[in-house]
Amino acid sequence: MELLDQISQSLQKGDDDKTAELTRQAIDQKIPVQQILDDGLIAGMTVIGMKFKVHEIFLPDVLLAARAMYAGMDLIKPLMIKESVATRGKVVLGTVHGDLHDIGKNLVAIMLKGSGFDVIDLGSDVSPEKFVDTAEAEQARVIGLSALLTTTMPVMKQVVDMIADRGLSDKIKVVIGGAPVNEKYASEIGADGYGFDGVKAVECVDQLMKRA
Amino acid sequence: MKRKVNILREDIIPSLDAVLKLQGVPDDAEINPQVMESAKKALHYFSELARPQGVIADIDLADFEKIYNGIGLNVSPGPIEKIYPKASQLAVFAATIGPDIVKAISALFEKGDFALANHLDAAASTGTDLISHVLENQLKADLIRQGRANNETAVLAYSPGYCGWHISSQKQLFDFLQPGDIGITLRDSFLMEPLKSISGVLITGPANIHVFEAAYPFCAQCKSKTCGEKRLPKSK
Repeated sequence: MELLDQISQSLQKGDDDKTAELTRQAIDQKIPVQQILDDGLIAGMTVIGMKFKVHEIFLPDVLLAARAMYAGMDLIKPLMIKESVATRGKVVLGTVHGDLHDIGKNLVAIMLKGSGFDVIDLGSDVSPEKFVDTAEAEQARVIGLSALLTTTMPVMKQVVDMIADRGLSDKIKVVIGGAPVNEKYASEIGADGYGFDGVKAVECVDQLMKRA
Repeated sequence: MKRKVNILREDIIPSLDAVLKLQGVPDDAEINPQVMESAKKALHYFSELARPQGVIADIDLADFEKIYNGIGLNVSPGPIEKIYPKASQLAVFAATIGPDIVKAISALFEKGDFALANHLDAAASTGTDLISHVLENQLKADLIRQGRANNETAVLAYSPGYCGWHISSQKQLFDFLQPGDIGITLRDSFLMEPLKSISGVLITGPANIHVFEAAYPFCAQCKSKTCGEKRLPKSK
């Protein structure tokens, strides 16, 4: 559909005003919300993600596109709730206890929301209990943990252990990210995935959603 | 003796290239005009909001050794433990660009202006790193004035958390320097607040003491790659 393609194109250009205007038109034309989301907004962000992955565009371009994505999302979100449109799943996200660095976590949240996931952002300096309690209460299938300090990395293992202690390992998967961690560390602490950057984090969460 | 240092805002304003590079934009990339506009806006915000402050204190070898060793978590052998005993002068420091930029970055993210927020964060990180160069230059100039150094002398900053120096040494460094009077505090996780702060030691001596081969186990994980001779002033 041409209008949905235009939404995707304007989003890719990072034009938030145009994306909002076209999304409004799509709503007025009674195009199903799920279709506006999937074939307009998420389609645009998917192209952005692929271009980022092959270094055709860079982080600032992705963030401009994300802002456009949010401009469209703001308009369709009330309709999604009203029509009970399903998201791609719920993710609880935060920077671990003792750490206040939240830029990386914010970028992952932006990418996840832009890809159609429902994100509960707990902010920074979050205790293991808060992560697990929230995921349980909200029935989130993935917890995303961020840390920038070697001294706060061990909190990630505390979260993984707490999930296991509560017998939730089959229901709640953990993905970690941040400068001091890597795939090997994720494996060592029993995390289910590692997101090197926002795009990889989205891919990882998508796979984990299917397993949880 | 502990003293406050005068850090001029204009000395720590980062270049546009440095801000983009920190976000993974290569030197030869074609920049989208919207990205450029947003990055320039971030630098304008930086120059409005940065409130750089710093303190520095001379320290003798024995006292610095206690700070360096901290609670015994350093990776040994490491380059710093080989460099500082050869120093002609040692000083510890802490500095910050202040809390206003950190608050502004959060506010921009909240508002949904993600690109501007991230540009400003990159500018703030780069600006904070530039403070250490300002301190290096100021200390060298002071030492030259006092006849304790010459133009060939190199003053370089090293920080806990890098080059095998464990971040837990921040505790001993803060106990010695007490930088709370310029608003820098330390969390139990050894994280400084405001977030955009820097601390460490300024090691003064002949340039060759700073040269080492980046072949330590931790060098493989290092993302800054700005060690040793890369930081020394180029000889003419």
